Amino acid sequence: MIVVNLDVMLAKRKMRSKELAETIGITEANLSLLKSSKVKGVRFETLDKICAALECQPGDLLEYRMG
Amino acid sequence: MSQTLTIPSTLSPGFTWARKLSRVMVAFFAIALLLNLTEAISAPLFAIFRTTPSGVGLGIGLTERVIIGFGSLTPWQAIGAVIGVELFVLPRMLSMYHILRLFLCFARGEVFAARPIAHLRVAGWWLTATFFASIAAVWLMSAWGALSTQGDAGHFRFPGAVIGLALIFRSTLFTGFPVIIAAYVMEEARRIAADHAEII
Repeated sequence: MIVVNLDVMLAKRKMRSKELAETIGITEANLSLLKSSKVKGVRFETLDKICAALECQPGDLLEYRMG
Repeated sequence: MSQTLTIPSTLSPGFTWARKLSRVMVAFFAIALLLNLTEAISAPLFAIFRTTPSGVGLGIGLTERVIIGFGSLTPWQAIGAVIGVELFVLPRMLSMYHILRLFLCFARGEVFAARPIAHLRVAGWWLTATFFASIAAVWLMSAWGALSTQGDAGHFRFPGAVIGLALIFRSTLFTGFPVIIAAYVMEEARRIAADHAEII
């Protein structure tokens, strides 16, 4: 399964969810769903914005776990 | 924080026009529904009070050619006429009600949602039913003696063939089925839209 490590990256960058949501232009509700891996997919466009805002790589945000 | 997906309201500017027109359609169908309701209520009243105090027979025109003159009916025939009128009017009223609710949803901006699709599908079924119910009503009223082919004014002007039914009733069959199919297509579109909404 794919796990989203967005909260880890947010903690590392000392950034709040609200701030990130405003920066990348999505709602806090949708960002919360993304953080808890409750979405079916992430657009490259969104991933690009998150990586730019958090200065990280997609691999820092997404992780594959067996089972 | 809510754990439901927020669907972005990215309706095109053209949809604003559709919403405005939907409001007009709501008003139009509300008037039509009221007129039909008047017809539905009038039938049993006309069966009780078949003539005016001055002796003029009361009647209901279901189509241009199917006109029921209660004044010349026996009480038994009047009962048949009431059943016929209700059979004619009720499916039409129900289809109008669901079309009105559909346009209300559109006016509110609800497009690919379960509710408007359900109204569209039910309206389609009632439109189709209107066609068959109108044939059944004419047949029933003829069998009951509430319709005759003696065509003097104020009595009945029924040509005696189903094909003589007004175009609007024939068209219900040709609109009812396509509307049902359109509702199923819209349901598929709603499912796809919901799927897309889960991609952030």
